[in-house]
Amino acid sequence: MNPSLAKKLVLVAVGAGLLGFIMAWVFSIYIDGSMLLRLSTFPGC
Amino acid sequence: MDSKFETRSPPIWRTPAFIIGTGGLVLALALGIRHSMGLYLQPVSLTHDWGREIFGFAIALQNLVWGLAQPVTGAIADRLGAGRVIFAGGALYALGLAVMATTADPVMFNVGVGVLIGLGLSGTGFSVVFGVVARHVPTHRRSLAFGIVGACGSFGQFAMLPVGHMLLGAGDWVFAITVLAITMAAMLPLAFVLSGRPASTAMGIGPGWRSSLREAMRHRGFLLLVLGFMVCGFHTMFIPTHLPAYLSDSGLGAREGMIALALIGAFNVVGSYLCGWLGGHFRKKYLLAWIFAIRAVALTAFVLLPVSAVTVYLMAIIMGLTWLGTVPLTSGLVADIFGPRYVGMLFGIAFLGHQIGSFLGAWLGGALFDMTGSYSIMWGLSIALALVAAAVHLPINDRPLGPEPQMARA
Repeated sequence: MNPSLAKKLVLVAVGAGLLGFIMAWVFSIYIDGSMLLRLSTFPGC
Repeated sequence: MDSKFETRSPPIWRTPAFIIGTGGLVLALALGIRHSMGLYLQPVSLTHDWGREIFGFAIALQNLVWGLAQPVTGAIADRLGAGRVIFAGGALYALGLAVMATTADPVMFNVGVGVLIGLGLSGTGFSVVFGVVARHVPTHRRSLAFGIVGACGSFGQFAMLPVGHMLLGAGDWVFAITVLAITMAAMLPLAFVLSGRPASTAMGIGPGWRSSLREAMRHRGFLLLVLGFMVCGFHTMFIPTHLPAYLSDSGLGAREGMIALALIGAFNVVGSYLCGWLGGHFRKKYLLAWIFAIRAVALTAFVLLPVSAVTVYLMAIIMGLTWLGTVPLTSGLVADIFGPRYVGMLFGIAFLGHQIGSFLGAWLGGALFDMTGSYSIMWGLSIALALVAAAVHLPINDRPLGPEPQMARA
């Protein structure tokens, strides 16, 4: 495999893994319930 | 070859990747902090012994100021450079947060949260950041760049709410807002990375902003694009504002509502990127038509099927995937047709339409519920508007009006 392509693939995999971990962690805070108590409404975009 | 004629590569902080990353960070912070404001409604109102109207009015005013100021700040950024506008916007945003943390006067609170943060948002929001990104990336990469920056903004919205929640857990709301104000002030140096004017502006050539504005206002496609973006605002404000109450009325708990909103937030990040990427491969007007057609089908199925956790989550995933995917496509289409020089101003006008739609979505949802005792008319209206939005994108003439101007001067 082309070394630069392999490097890119590793970078993408690490980035995707890190982003996935952060997303899962943020998601867990959403559904844990305590944040819900603070929110009377959820603002839009 | 004589060395003085060799082309030098730009410093790393002027490369498109660095500008996209910096723009994404600015957008994530600006949109994220604004998105977490709902957390402070109760503690602020309790501390000052206010009703909820004062906080609510300040947020409503913020939306109005943001929308009305956006075309102006976009035009200033197009003319004088985005760096100055982002710096001023970030400073006003930080000042607004500082006022929010320190004042106990309702009028000053509205000045801080409504006016200063509203102006700050217009200086650090989509139009200005997309404008500078558009001028620093090659045309064939523009849509992907918008998608990445839009995904960063979406991620900020998704992630900053829990951050605010944790700050409130670590101290009181004054502590949380102070931390956010310091964070926003710390962002100011990033504005220097996003500085620089379009080459044609710097050299004083090309059409002025007035003729560009006239040209856009005479372009039927631009007006249809604004109309479609208005429908987007209608959906993205009506659903998050009224969905929890609708689910509660339908016998589901607040937890399902929260999970649905989290799913919209998470899939919005994916959808924003994906739509930007798709915009680089397919015609944007057709992608926008597809987005609204998909929304119409998803909303119709949601309304017709019995409400359950599964249908709510499926609707949330589909809506999330199409949520802010409209942003890179709409801004990309504006840049494709009119060129990147005045994209800040022209997308700012489209964004004003979006904010008017947002206002109508939030307000009509409550008003029609009070009149009829149900959300049926609003769901029907949302579906009808989605179909109208899908249809209005089809006849848009997306042919560029002139040659692409030169890339930005570093």
